[in-house]
Amino acid sequence: MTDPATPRRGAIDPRVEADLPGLALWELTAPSALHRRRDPDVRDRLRELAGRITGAVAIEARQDEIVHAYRVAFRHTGLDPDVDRTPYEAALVERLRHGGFPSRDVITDALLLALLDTKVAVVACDDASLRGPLHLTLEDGAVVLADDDRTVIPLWEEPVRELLPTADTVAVRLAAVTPAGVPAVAAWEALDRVADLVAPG
Amino acid sequence: MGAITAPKLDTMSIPGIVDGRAARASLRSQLRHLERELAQLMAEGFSDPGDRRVIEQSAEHRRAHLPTFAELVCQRDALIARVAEERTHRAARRTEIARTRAFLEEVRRAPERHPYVRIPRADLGEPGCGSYQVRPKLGIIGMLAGWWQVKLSSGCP
Repeated sequence: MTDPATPRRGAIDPRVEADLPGLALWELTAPSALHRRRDPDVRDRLRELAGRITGAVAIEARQDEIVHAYRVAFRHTGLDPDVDRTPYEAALVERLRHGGFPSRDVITDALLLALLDTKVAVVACDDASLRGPLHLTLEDGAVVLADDDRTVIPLWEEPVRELLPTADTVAVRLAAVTPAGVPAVAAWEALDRVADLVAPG
Repeated sequence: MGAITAPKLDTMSIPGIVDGRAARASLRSQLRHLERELAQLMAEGFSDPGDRRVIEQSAEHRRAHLPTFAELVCQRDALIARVAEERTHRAARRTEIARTRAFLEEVRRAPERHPYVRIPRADLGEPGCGSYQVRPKLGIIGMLAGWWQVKLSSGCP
């Protein structure tokens, strides 16, 4: 049996791999207690991070190696990162629009905090709603994350509503797709960070 | 008359004519370099307070997919145009700033020839909302006597 706390590398369709070399999928299953009250430390950390973000930070972010890698990957997958923003830049723009990062719920806060700290986007699904490991594949020309049964998430997007973790979720499946240029350690750190923040106790 | 549409070109399907994979890899590499250059130009533009433009973007949302060769070429060409536009704009801005600086030097050398001239710091590419102003020394006395000086006002509300 594999250690549930160790990120696993997900399979990638050879057609996707041939066109997007360096793309990696990392997956981690973590026990969760999402019904509990939000952690005040997380709220404080979000407030602290929000205070550091200005327009200049948002513009200069695109020169950061990880953000640059995401922007390039967006272009390589037919998207314009100035229209469909990369996850980290989208978070910065949201902060500039709303004047802060409002604390929402345990899982949303954990995903946001991990994104702000590592610049790597993590998506979360209820582990019980998935069949088998996640893999990256092609569906009608679109690059998607899928389990053994169906498409779970279009690449760079959010999972469909019925797969999202709820207050009753006892284990979350976390996944991070990282483009070429993003070190694996950044993805592991992001996954570990979310796993720590949603863990029971 | 029907609309003219570009033929769908995908070199993956032209074996022996063009190495599709190599061509696609080359385009992807060009996109990477252009994206880097655009990021630098955008950061340079943002650090210039006198340069505040709104860049028009199409709002078309798409799904991540593997672009065809033709799509990659279009994307590359659009990015080249964007970088070229940004580069031209930055060059024009640098010229404008140099001209304004030269004018400020001239004003400093002979303020009496430029009474009440006002040069905002933003026009010099400097941060802050102040401006250089040619003012008479000692108020009305300086005005009548022709004593002028360049003062930097804070200008901030």
